[in-house]
This record gives sequence, C-alpha cells and structure tokens, in this order.
Amino acid sequence: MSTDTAPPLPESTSDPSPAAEPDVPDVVLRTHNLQRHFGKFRAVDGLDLTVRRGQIYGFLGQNGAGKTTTIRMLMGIIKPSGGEIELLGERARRTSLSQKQQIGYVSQYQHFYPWMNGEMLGRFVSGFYPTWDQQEFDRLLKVLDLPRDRRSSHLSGGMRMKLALAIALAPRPALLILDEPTSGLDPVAQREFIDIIQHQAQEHGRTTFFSTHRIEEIDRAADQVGIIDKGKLRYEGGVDFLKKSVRRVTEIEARDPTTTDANDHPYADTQRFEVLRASENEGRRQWTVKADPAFWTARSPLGHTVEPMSLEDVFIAYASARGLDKI
Amino acid sequence: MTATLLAKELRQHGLALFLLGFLNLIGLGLSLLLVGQLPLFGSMLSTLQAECWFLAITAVILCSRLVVVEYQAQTQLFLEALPLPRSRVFAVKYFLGLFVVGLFTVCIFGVVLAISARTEEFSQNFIALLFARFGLFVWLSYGFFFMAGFLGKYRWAYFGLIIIAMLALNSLSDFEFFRSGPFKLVTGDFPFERNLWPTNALAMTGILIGILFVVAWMLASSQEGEVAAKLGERISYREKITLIVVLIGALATFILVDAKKPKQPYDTTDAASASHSAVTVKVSPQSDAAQQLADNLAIDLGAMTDFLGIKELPPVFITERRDLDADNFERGILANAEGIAARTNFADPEWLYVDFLEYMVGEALLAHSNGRIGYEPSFWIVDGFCLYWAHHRAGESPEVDPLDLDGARQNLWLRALYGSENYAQPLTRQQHIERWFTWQRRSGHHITAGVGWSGLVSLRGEVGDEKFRAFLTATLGRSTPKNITTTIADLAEPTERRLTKSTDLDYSTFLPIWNRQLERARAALSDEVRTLPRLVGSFEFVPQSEASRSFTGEFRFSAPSNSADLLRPVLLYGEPVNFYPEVPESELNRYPLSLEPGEQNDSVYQDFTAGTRVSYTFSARHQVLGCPIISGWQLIEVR
Repeated sequence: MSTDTAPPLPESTSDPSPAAEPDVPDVVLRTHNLQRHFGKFRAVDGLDLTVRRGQIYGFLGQNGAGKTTTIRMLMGIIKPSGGEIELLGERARRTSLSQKQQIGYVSQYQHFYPWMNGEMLGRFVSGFYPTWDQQEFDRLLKVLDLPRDRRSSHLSGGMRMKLALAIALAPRPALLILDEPTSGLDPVAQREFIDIIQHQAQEHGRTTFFSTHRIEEIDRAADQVGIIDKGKLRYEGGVDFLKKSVRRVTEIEARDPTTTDANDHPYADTQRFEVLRASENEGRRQWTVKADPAFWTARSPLGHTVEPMSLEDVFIAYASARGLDKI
Repeated sequence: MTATLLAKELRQHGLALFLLGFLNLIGLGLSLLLVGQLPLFGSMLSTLQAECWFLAITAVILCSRLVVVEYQAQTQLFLEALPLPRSRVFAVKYFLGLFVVGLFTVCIFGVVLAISARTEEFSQNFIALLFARFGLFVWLSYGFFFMAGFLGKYRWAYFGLIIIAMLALNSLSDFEFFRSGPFKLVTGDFPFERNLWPTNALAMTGILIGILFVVAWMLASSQEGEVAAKLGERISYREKITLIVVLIGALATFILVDAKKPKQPYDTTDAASASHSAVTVKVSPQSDAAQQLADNLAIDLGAMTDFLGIKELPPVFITERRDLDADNFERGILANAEGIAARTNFADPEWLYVDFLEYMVGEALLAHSNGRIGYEPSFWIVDGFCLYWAHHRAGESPEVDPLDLDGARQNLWLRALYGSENYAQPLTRQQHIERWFTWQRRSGHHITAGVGWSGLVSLRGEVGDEKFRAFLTATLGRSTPKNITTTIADLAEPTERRLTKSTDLDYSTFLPIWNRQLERARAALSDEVRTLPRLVGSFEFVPQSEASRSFTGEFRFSAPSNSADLLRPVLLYGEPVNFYPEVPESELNRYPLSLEPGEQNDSVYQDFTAGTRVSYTFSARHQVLGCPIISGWQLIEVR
C-alpha cells in the first residue's frame, strides 16, 4: 500500500442518524489578550484568536511556541495569567466545568489507566459528561477498529490516539480540541488520523481546533490557520489566502556588500507590504513579503524577481522572523 | 462525578484494600497474642497501642496506592483533562483512604474492647476517651502519610529525615518527644486513664491533622499540580545518590553529636562536701554526721569509679530527710540540672551505711550509663555489683573470702538461696537471669541482689580478680553516650559476648559454675534456709456501699510462725506509674502490721475508684538476711 495517500476509512466515522446538536454560536472560541507567564517567561503573550462554527482551525507553531500552554488554558487545566476566554458565548478568565463538558479533548500523550480497557475507559469517562452517548462510543470503537477488551497498556500509539478520539467524540462535543494529535504516530497512522478529523468535520460539521507543527497537516485538513511564535499570534486567516499573500522577492544581481540597510528593498516605501523575513543568498538579498494577493498581480519591481512560496516556506518565514537588521 | 471516581478507586485498589484488611487481621491476632502473653502490659487494651503502628503501616501502603501510584503513572494528567475539579479528586482520595483506615480502626477497636470487656469494666466516658485517643492518633498518622504521598520520589528521604530528627530531639534534649503531643495519646497511661481527657494533646493532634490536610492540598494544587507531578516522577540515579548521602550525613551528625544539651550544674548551700577521684559528694544540712557520710561516700564511690575505670561521675547530693524510715531511700529529681540526688534519714539509729552505699552505687551506675544498665537481661550484674561493692567496701572485714560460707558473707549467701528458691532452683537456664525483673517482683530487689552477688563472687572465684574486674569494667564501667551508638554497641556485643571476651566463659559454662556454688551453699546452710520465714497475705477491694463506686482495700495477713527475726512488718501498696507494675519508692504507702500470732484482717481506708490498679506486697526486715523480705508484688485492679 502506498504511503502517500490516506488509507480508506472502514466506514463513516459520523453517526448516520446524529442526535440534534446543541445550539452552537457562530463564534465557538475566541481568546482576548490571553496570557500565561511562568515567572518572567511569557509562554503565551496576548493571544487573540477566533474559531468559528464548523471550522477546522490549525494552530501552527514550532516546539515551545506556546501551543500546548494555550490549549491547557482553553481546557481549564491551567489558569491564564491574564486575558479572557470566550467559549460558546460565555466569557471568563478560566474555562468552567460546564464549558469543559462541551469540549472533546485529545492530548498529546495519552495517560490512560493502564489496567483499563476501552470499554472501562468509556464507562469511567461517561460519568463526567451529561451528553455522553454510549451508542456513539460503541459505534466509534467499531468503526475505528478498536478492541473493547484490550488493556490500554497493550495498545499501540496509534490505537491509543484513536481511543482518545473516540472518548472525545462520544459526548458529541460542540468543539473538538486536539493537541498535536499525530506526534509520535507513524506516517500511515498520521494520515489516517487527519482523515478521521476531516471526515468528522465534513460529515458532522464538527468545529475542530488542533495544534501541530506539521505544515502538511495544515495544508491537508485546515481551512483556517493561526501561526503562533513566542507566545504571540503572528497570523490568523485562511490557508489559501496565506499562500497567495506571501511572496519571495530576490535581487537579480548581487549589490555592494557594504549596503546593509535591511529596509532598502523595493517595497520599503509602502504600507501595503509587510516584510516577514530578510536573508541573503549567494550575495543577493531576499525578502519574504506579505501583501494582499491583488498586489502581487502587478509587474515585478525592477532588478528583482517575485515568486510564490510553499506553505512550509511561509511558515518558516513567520516562525524564524528575527528582525530585519541581521543581513 | 464523585461516585464515578469512587468506583474507579475501588476498582483500582480493591485487591490491595482486601489484602490490607487481611494483614490487619493478622496484625491484630499477633498483638492480642503478644499482649495476652506478657503480663508487663497489664491490660489487653495495650493491644490498641501496638495496633497504632500496624495502622500507620496500613496508612503508608494505602497512601502509596492512592497518591503515589497515580502520580508515578501520570494518570492524574488524564483526570485533569476531564471536566473534573482537582479538589474533587483530592477529596475523594483523602476521604476514601480515611474511611478505609477508619473502618479498620473501628473494627480493631471493637474487637479489642470486646475481648477486654471480659476482664475490665467500661464506662461510656472511658470508651469515648479511648476511642478519641486511638482514633485521632491513627487519623494523624494517615494524614501524615497522605501528605507525604505528594512528595513522591522524596517521601522515603522525608520519612528518614523525620525519624532521625525525632530520635535526635528525643535523645539529645530533655524533651521526651515520644511521650509528648500526639504521642502522648497512645503512650503512657493510655489503657488505664479512665477519666482525664488529655485535652492539650487532643487539640494539638487535631490542629496537626488540619495542618497536614492543608499542606497536602497545597502540594497537590500548587503550580496547577505541576509540583506534585514533578515530585511524582521516578527518582533518578543522581537524586538517589544525593539523598543517600544527605541521609547518611544526617545520621552521622546525629551519632556524633552525642553530648546532651548541657545542663546547669546543680549546687547546694549549707552542705558538707568531700571529693575523691572522680567523685564529689555534698551532704546537707551540714553536720558532723553529714561530713562523715560525705567523706565515706566520696571514698567508696571514688574507689568504685577507679575500679570500673569510670573517668567522670556527676556530683552526688544527699539531703537528710528525718521523716523517712531508716531503710527508705528516695531518689531526688534535679530538673534541668546535672547530678545524682538522694534523700535519706541518716540520723536514724537504725540507718545502715552499707545499705545506703548499696543504693548509691546503683544510682551512680544508672547516672553514669544514662540509664543503660537498666536493661533487664544484664541487670543481674547491676543488682549483684551494688551489693558486692557495698559489702566489699563497708563490710566488717573487707578481706573476707566471699566464698567462705561461714564467714561474714553468710547472710548474703542466705539471701541468694532464699531468692533462688523463690524463682529458679536450680539456676540452669539463661532465661532465668534474663527475666530478672520478674524475679525481683517475686522476691524483692534486696533478695535478687543476693542472687546476683552470688553469681559475681562465683565468677570471681572461677576466673580470678583480673578477669573479674575486666568483665565489670566492660559491662558497668564502659562509656555509654546517650545516642544510637550505644544501642548499636549493645546489639553488636551483648552481655554474654562481653563475658566471653573478658573471662573466656559463656553462659553455658558459667551458669553451672554459679549453680555449683549455690548448691554447695544450700548443702551447708540448709538448716538456716529452712528457718527463713515466708510472708503470705492477700488484698482485695470491697465497695464502700452497695450504691458506691468507691472501694476500700481489705487485707489479711498472718505472721509466719518463724517470725522471730522479723522487724517492721508493713503492707506496701500504691498505684503503678503508666503500665509498669512497680511503684516508685516515693509513691508507696506503708501500712504497719503486727507480728502477733493469728490472722490480721484490716482495712486500708482509702477511696479507690473502679478501674484503679494497685500494686501491693507484704514486707518485713529480716535481721539475719539484713534486708527486707516480701510476699511478692501483686497487681490488682479495682472492679
């Protein structure tokens, strides 16, 4: 079996006759200047993100960018140092228990009780969710091909992640939050997992917020992306829009090396362009520039080439932006 | 939510709880067996004291299951992700554990109470008092171990440091840690105090339970549970080595700091003073007789310190007390001061220096050894040496051969024979001398001193003066600092090994030698032994009226037919301190008796309340033996 295509799902992961979804507001999740400090270190520093109903929101960032801290705050596991969380229309400093009951959560690592099997775990977790749907859980175990009676300690990493997903989906949550769900999985399992999430969103309109540092997952599944770097949200918007907005501008000929003014680029005189990154390649200066896609239709500036970039390059430009004075 | 958590905990730890219940059952059986077998405990309720420690072990295991396992497996992260407040998880664990320990506590308490009810009466107040003391102590130990569970990988180091700190506090200061605060609830008078509520100790225990609860919650919740999670991780090799080094360092410091908290030197004014070798004696008030006593005592105790190689002895303070009987010597208490204090009536014409010296040798050795010579298996040496040294120094003829049965030591041989008939004849088994206090209770310490003396002079006759002295120096003269090194030294080198090291004899070879000398004396002095009287009497309590809960002691005593040599017969009685059957000399009541022929029936008109324990014996001084004989100490309870 080829690994560059996702294996087909055994059958639909969505309930063919789903129960009525609770009324979900248009804005499912919004953070207002969300902050979390560990001493002097600002892990999350004034985050404002918005997730709308039915979106698959990819939360992209390097390791240590603040993704997990943000998600732990959204889940009410840790308290924000500042700012507020607006979840399903309710706005508060910390996520309440009743709000938490409307979120399905899959963490990066699964710390199940090793002596519990899938059935036991489902029974245990069901006690904390008033909306728990046992039939849905049973169905998910079946379609995800999960053994009911095997101890969790005897499950593979991929199976544990799928079991966590089944547990997260069984209460029919208004919002599904996944923290780097594919890290540690092999490529086939990664693809399978992303397909399941996509399938859920398409079939069920499930609002999903997932963090990752894998560009291909964003490219494949997300229709909205938030890029976080050093605790700050650097970009939020559509994935296609992002790809169309960012271009690489390169000098055709190398210039006098004594000229080091980073702002000396073809778009320095306008407010409509934002330089994300400046670098040098074989004596020629390069800029990663963001602008409205419409502006890129014009002719290239004299002495420069303008080329589109892959999403990965765009992300690297955002993630490794270190200022413009280092070239 | 709570029910789901409880169900999970019970499912997870059900087997462990069942096994703990089984272990507690075995523990209870063993405790009942132990307490029932040893009269030393005095009451079956002492089982609860032993059970406190079993329940503490239960708490260690339980808290390890409930807390440590959760954090070590990091399954608390799974719980944190659920819509479940951290406080609920904490509370369920705490109160589930408390319920389990409480259940064991109630069951054990009920069983012990039911068994004790066959021999003791219980008022509601007494039951409530016992349960409050027992239950609160168990709760405290549970709270302690629950809190320690959140220390995760450092909990064993924490236990180690706590134990070392408690031992150090107890050993290096005057503060009796294990008889104070919460420990006071289950030590000392626990099985016997029926009326007085130890309110301070109960309050302090309650406060500590609260503090431990708060600390446990702080550990569980601080930094959003990050602290407990970090502590719950498995210990690294480097941390393990560091902790071992810290613990060894703390233990070594404790061992090295063996000097007690320095006490203020005690002094007295208006006293006759004398010094000799390592000994200073002060006798007050000053008089010619006081000066003579000071001189004699300084010389004789000084000679003893030289003989045993004792380099230093605390100063000796003697106070004249005219209200005391001639043969009644009382220990003085010097609060927070260094010294050996005693009270005696040396102006009484019947007062004998040899008896007083015998008493003071014991006091001096007790002080020198920091109480170590009070260890029962080797106490025959102490008893024997006190008599040996007193007669060796103050006897009519110091040069007399102690093995000469017709000489000046004949009365001491008679004491030995009289005592051995009372307990072990022939003296062939090591346990005969290792249960010395039982022997003392039957015969009185003056008589057992005679038995011990016979052992020592038999040893001296066999091995010679040099080895004899080496043995006494190794047992009585050695340095015994008040710390754990002495315990280790005692465990490493018990009395028998010291005997072998000094004299090349062990108990299996020494006891027959000792026994041969006793048999020789018995053969030579059988007529004299036969004439020695035995005191017999009984004591019981009768209610003062049908409705009354107060009792009067009634006794019967018949003077023995061969009582010609008896003097000053008395009924001695008193309430024992804590669970020891002995009554301190200063707490004894003396009721004079008559030696007229015929049975005496008389009453001690004193109010005794139900549940009071009283030790009693009939006693009279025998002129030939030169010491009191007794009917044997009996411990009875007012019912």
